[in-house]
Amino acid sequence: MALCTNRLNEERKSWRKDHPFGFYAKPQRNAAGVLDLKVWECGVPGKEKTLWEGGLFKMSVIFPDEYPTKPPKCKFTPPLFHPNVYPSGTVCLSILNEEEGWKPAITIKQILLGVQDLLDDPNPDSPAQAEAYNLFKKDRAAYEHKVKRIVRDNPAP
Amino acid sequence: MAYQEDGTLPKSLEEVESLIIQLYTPGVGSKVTRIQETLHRLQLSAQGWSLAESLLGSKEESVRFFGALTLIVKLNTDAKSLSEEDTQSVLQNIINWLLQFTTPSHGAGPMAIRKLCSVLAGYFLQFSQSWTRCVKHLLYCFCLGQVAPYVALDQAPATDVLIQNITTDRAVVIFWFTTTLVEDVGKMDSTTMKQHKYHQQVIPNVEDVVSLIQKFVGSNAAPANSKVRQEAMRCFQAWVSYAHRAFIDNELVLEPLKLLTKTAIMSLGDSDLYEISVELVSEMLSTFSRFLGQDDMDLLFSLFNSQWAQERYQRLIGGDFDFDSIQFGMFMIAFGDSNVVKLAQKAGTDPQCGQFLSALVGLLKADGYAVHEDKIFVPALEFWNTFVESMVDVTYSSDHGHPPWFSTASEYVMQGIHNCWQKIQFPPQEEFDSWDSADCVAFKDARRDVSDLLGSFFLISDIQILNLFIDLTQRSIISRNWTELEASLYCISRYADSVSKHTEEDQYLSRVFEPSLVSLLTSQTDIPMRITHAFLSLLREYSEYFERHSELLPQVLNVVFTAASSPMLAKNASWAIIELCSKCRNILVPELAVFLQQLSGMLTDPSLDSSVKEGCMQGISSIIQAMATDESKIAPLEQLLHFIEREADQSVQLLRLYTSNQATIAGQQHVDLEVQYSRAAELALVALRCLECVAKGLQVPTDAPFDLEQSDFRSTFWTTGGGSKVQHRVITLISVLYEAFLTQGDIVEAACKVFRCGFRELEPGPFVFPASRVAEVLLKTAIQTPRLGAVITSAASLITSHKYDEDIHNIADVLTKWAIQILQTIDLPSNDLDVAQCAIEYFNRLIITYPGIFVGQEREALHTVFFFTLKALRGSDPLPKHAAADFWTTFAGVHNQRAPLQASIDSLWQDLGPYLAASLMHGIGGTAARSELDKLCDPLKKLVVGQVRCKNWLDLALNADDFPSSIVTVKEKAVFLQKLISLRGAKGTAQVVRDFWTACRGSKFDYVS
Repeated sequence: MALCTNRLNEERKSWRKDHPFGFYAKPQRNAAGVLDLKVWECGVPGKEKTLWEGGLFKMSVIFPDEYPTKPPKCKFTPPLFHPNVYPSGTVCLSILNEEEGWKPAITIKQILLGVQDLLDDPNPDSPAQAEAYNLFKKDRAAYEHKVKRIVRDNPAP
Repeated sequence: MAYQEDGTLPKSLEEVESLIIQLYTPGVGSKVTRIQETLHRLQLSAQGWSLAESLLGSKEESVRFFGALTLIVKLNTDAKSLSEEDTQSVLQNIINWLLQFTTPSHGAGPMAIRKLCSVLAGYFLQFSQSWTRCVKHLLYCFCLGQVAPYVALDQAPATDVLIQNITTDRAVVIFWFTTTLVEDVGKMDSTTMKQHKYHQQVIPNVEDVVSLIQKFVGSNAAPANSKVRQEAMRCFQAWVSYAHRAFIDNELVLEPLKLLTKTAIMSLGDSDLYEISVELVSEMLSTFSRFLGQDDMDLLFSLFNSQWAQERYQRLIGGDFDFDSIQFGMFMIAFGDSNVVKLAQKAGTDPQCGQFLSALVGLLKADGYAVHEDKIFVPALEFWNTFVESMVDVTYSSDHGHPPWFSTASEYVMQGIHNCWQKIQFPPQEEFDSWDSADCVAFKDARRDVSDLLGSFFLISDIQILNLFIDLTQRSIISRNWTELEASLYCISRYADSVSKHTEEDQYLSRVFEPSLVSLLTSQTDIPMRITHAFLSLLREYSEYFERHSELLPQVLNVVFTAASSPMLAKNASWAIIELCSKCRNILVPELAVFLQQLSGMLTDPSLDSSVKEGCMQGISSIIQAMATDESKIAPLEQLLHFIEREADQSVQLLRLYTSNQATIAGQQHVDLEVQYSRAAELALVALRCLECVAKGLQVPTDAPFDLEQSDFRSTFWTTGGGSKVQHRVITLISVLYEAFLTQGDIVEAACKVFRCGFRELEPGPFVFPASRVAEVLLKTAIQTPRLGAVITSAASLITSHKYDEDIHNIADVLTKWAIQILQTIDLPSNDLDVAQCAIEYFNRLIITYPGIFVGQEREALHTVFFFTLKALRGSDPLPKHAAADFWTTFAGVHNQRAPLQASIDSLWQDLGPYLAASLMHGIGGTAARSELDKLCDPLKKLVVGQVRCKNWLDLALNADDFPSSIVTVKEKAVFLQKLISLRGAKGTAQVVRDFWTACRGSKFDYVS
């Protein structure tokens, strides 16, 4: 638990020192105003020169007590239309899977950049929602059209 | 060159040299790889050592460099095979070369010399135990001018004497060596570090290094050239970072290094050393401040008061953002960060702290636009965020409220916030547009960072902080200073979460909106877009305020509707409309007629953004929802429908035109016709989306009380009573568009979404259609219909949400037959993954709600469903596979039904059991992906618990010819089966399955289990 808190404090410091453009990430405050280091509110912008450019997508990053041994969970709120995002909003990404690519050295910055990469480069081998996945595979034009609409509904400020 | 192509190696030294020279000649291109390979083979060969010797003796610098490189390769690959004697002679040899290279007449360049220093560091990594006092040994040899064996070091004079005699050039070389040494050691991972006890071998050298550095940069240093002084300082920098590593690893403190901290601080004022020392001191402050003592901190404090620092500071805030100037700012911030608590607590009592905080406040108002020009703003802002957070931490960890220092510290923060408010003001639009996109994004990021600061400070300053921005707002309204006004509105909008539910919320907000802001926006016509934009954001954030202060609503909505017609503001305006209408629905009922008229006017503009149409429809519908009686809702709903029907009619007419001309027209006219078709489809889509928005608007707000006694669950007002005409019009509209555009996926899906809004309702309403009417529309689809999956999902929602409809059993039966037919047509799940998954989910939901209807289907039809799902379970497509696993979990969980139904189910299992067992074992036997195992466990657990014959079925499946793994033995299979059965579906099943799957796949998959 102490390890988790120390690491999150470090993460916070280094995020402040240096973070990629257009992103944001900060621990939430609970109703009493106390910082809850284990739940972060983040924003992932769509990459330039991709379909997702111009959008900014809200995501919660939830850290377990065993972090960094175990990976955090990333959840888009509201759930995002994307082949690798579960209907609940949870992101399916190998670096966030304890049994696949997760390593304790992975930073929040790397996670958020990883999610940003995933937006325009979905992994067809691990579909998480039918709607986006099937459209992506069957009707690319309709998929792109829908993404554009989603970007329009979630504009970067 | 034949030897390269046929794999033979060069035979003479000249050939090797010529290859090396080629390698370093620009433009060799494709040959490089082959040359490198050849040379590398030579380095690895037994002659590598003697080759290195010869190459180091060359006249060519690049060849000498390659010679040193060869030694590194040899040390890394052959070190272990060297005898004790050999290792000593290797060391002497390297030092000998270094002596030769550093003889003034030799002419070796720094490239080869530095590489030899790396060789020495590499040697240390291999043989640290026999070369512990490496620095003194090197010093001794350099002073002697010849190589002395390491064992002779006992006879060497004291280090101080050696240092006095060392030449400046050779001192530089020693700095290079020892810098490389600690950098290389510092890169070792913790295990290697422990294994070789590197720290214990390195530390005995620290005093020698410190003395050598002191000779050139210490307070008593003799005058020396800038090069050696810079190298001395760089060397110190490397040692400090190494000291940090030693502290982290073993809590070792390299005390002698501390003798130099003051020297480093004093070197800041030395122009030769500034860039190195400012980086070094900043690094110490931000990562290793415990290395600095209180006297160092005091020295730094007094340094900031010096004229030198004042001049640098003025240059920085005056807009000098050159590298060295930014470095100075970062240095100030690093100092602030490491003293943040002291600064906060002593700001009022210690003038030095107060002055320093003022300087940090000043960093927030350097000349120039943030990010684009001013590069110190964002780092300075981060400092203030940390500062405020430390204040918040103190407040929340104390039971006695604010400590005495709090108010002074808060004053500094307030000044900082005021500076931030100036910084976040946008430049003129043309200027902002000329920035590159990264600067624009980063500028907006900086605004967001400012809002974080505001949010944190609110926690300790409370609502009074709003006064600052209210005053600024009013001031800029009077002076018509738009950029200032925008910044103030932005800041106020960022307080929404904090202010909400505060007891004095309204008191403050009334001063934000009234009287001047709202009247400014309603009376003045030349308001810049950004102001309206900021105002719309403000409305969205504080919509609840207007629920309590309805007197302003008409004026405010007027502004919003006007903004809606501007393409740049349309989206924000429609959001504000939805928010305001939804929150203030009860108050706005009397305004309904006006809004409908306003919408009617807006709809005459053909360029009106569809999001505005949708937003207005949803907003107005939420007002209709708040009307007292169902009867009163009819007229306004009919008016909305009229608007939508107009659009739909236009669409249908265009489509008719298209269909009638399609066969006869060719060429350009044909292209025009296609455009017409797209237009028709677009209109239809907007109409359906508007319907969905109306349906959403009509939904009862989730926080509204739900009166179970009063509520009339079975009211027929909308289905057969006075409201039926509305409902009829809606469903006719959907039906017409749906049928007309069955080839357009978006339209099919949009229609389904309208239906689903109705399914979600708990009470009867205009969109809660009779199930039969919806089914009629859905059944118009054909197998080719795009998004057929969405239609099937709607069918599933229809039957599960209309459980109480009289004729629902018949409808469910018809829809089920339709779904079975679809499965028969697509045959294999992989032929249409979407349809496969949705259909399987349909049957899953059917079994849960109407097991009788499912089991009552013809035997052959049932087989279609069962075998289709089994194919999905065995297939490689994850989504149908998951759905199939859920289907079987549900089906295996159906128990305790009335007698004839349960009997049919049991008889079905007789046939199905072996097949399901085979499919599950096929996946668990290795064909499934690891991530699918948990899903496959669900039906397996149900099977084990619920079916007595399951053991036989599984046994057969495990020993069948097509079992995918040949690695596991019959015995292992039997053990697995026994474990499964004895667990009786308990939690441990998943682990047992995982282990068995791993065993079936073979050892190379161990890592994933």
